[in-house]
Amino acid sequence: MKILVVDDELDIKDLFLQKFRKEIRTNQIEFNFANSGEEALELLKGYDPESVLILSDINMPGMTGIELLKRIREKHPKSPPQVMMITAYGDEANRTAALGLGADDFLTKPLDFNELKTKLLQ
Amino acid sequence: MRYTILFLFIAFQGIGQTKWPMPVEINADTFLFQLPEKNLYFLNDDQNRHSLVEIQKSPDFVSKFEGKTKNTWFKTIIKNNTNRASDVFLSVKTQYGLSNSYAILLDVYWSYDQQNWTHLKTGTLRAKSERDDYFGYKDYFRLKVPTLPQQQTYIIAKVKVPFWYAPISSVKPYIESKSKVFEELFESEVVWGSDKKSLIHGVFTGILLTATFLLLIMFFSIKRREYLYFFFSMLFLTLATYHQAFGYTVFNNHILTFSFLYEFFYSLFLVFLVLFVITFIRDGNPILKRFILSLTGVTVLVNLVYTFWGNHYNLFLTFRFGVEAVYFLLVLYSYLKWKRGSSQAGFSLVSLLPLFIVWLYFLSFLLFWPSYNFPFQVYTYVETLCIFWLVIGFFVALLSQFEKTRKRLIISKLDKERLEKEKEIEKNEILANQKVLLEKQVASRTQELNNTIDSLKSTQDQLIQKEKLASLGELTAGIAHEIQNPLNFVNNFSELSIELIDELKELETEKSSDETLKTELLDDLAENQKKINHHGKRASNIVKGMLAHSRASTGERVLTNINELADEYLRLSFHGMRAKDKSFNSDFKIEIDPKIPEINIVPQDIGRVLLNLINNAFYAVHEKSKQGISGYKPLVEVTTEWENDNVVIIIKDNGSGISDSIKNKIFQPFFTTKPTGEGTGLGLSLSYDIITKGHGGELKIESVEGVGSTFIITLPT
Repeated sequence: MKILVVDDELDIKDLFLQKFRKEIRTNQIEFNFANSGEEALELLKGYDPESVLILSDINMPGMTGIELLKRIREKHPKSPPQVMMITAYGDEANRTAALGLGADDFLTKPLDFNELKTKLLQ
Repeated sequence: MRYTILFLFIAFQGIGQTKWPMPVEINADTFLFQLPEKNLYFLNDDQNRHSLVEIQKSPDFVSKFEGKTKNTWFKTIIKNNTNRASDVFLSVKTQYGLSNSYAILLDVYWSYDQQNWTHLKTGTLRAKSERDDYFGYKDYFRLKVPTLPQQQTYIIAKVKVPFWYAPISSVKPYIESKSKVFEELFESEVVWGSDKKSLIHGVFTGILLTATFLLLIMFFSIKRREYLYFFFSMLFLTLATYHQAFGYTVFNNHILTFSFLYEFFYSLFLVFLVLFVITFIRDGNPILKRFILSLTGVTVLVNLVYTFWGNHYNLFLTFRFGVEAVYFLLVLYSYLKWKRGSSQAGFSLVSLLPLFIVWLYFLSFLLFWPSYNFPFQVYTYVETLCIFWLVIGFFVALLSQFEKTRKRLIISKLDKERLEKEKEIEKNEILANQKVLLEKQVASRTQELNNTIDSLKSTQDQLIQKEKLASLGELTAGIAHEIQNPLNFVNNFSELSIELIDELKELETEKSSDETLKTELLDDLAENQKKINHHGKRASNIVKGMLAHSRASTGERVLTNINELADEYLRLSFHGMRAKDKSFNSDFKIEIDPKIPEINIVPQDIGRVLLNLINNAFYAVHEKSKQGISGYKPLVEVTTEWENDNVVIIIKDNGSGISDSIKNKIFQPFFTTKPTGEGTGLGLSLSYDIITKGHGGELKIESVEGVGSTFIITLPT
């Protein structure tokens, strides 16, 4: 399973790599990272949308997570690919916008990695 | 035949008129007579058009003077029957208007042969320099015509009056011998003693003129009209009485023209004397006063008539009578006023009375004893003395009045000066009072102004505080995000670290020797600690920055890393904008110059400037993105540069830009383009002050409307 993590914070990569060390080692999950929405869209071109889960921060300079979601859903109105949105604060406006645009899930920071792990491994 | 006779008659007439009259025959050495009419031919030439040549040929001469002309010619022949050459003196008596006088303008042409003519000129109105003389004597009525023994002398003469004169009504030429002329001259010069007369006249004229000019000086000193009137009356009296002496001195060349005016001077003397007496005796009988003035006017008119129209004894008498009547009335006028107790009138009466009595005496003789042999010579002297008495009397009166008036004037002048001084003192007092009042007013105004300034200052402080709070408010959301993120990392990495340690412990207990994994875990652990530390610091920096921002600036300069400051505020601003407005989005970039050393600045202040400029940049791109321009990508770029020992911070956006019309206003306090309530209008003005005044730097702007703006901060190190 391929997971594309989109966040402007670079340290998020280390965090995920360490958190999912076992899953990575056992090749259960393959992680890819993008620092912006634009980068994410670029990377997605080379992927099979069926086997990708996109995990995106909303609050990013340039293209926001919401916009990224919109662009993805323009191409693929329904999952797959699955899109899960993350934001630093769980405000209703963003949640509604994200869900309305066809997000599969909505997570709030700080991320509960155990919860995330369970969700991902489903 | 009849025609021939007629022709001859006409020819004869023409020849007959160019003929000369019968010659006047001179048979003795001594003679004086009027030329008889039979020896004269006349021709009136009213317009004075003919020349001598035309006159010679003219056939229009007639044997009788026709009268009433302003210009006439006559011709005659004098035949010397004696055996000696002799000089004949020709003079012409004329009557014009009412006057009898020698010719006013006389031209005589004489010739022995009717070929060569000699021109001679004289006349009462001819200037002395134009008159022909004989024996060095410039006579005003006689001309010398030489005759030869047993020969005829032809004479053509022209008698003329100026255009303003009455026309000539009679012309009577006289001739006399040299001996007769000498006799007359001797009589007038020696017997009448004109030398003696001149001396007396000279002395009196001098005295009178001195007194006259004293009067003028007195007039200029006290400015009273009566002095001027008396000055003029005395001046004209002097001119009238001593016109000959005066005329010979001043108008020698035109002495006769001048003499002709002297009666007129009498009139002027009278006019000014009347004016003087009336002014001198103030408030006399008004009816009498008007009567005197009218009578004076009439008298002067009579005088003018006979001066310019022609003298006549009756007119002269009328004038004299008028003068005397006016004089008597003046005496009456003075007397009436004197009876009412006027000392001025008394003076006047005393001055006028002697001449009054003398004239009365003369008149009574003239009227009642006309046959009495009146002693004219004595009378003239007495009259002159009386006139002097009059003059001296008035002069003394005026002199004493002058003294009094002068004293009064001096006193009134002193009074005036005192009054002026008092007024000035009063004015000064008023001024002083006003000054005090003004000073009070100024003080109270100043107080008011100071209060206003104080309240303005406090308002300004409040506004600055408000501006700070406003930008702080903009910050909070960004701060929350900015703090949240590092805190999340701190939490996450610390959790991870705990997990890693657990794993490591497990590995220890398992005794498995997967050294690679162990190393990897340890590396991760170390890395995580660094990350925790990094993010912890990050959060703490943000908190510090926020605190610094909200606190009043200490104004203390601290060595600061500009790159970090710029980065920090760029992020704060971005997240702040994002937090405030969900629809906001923009890309931002920061490009730093790592060569920049730490520089001494007030970090709170520069931070505020950066925040302000970056906020504005985000605001501008957001505004532009709202316009829905397709393909528009909002972008804010912050660049730092190290340039010639200056730090340059460039904040560039591709937003809506600033129009040229407001470019020079944006640094003014309270200028804002944001909707009411969104901006304080102080951000840029404060920023400008902080950079220029606070740090001696520069804040420049480059902007193109619709394309974007670039703010360039230059800070010296």
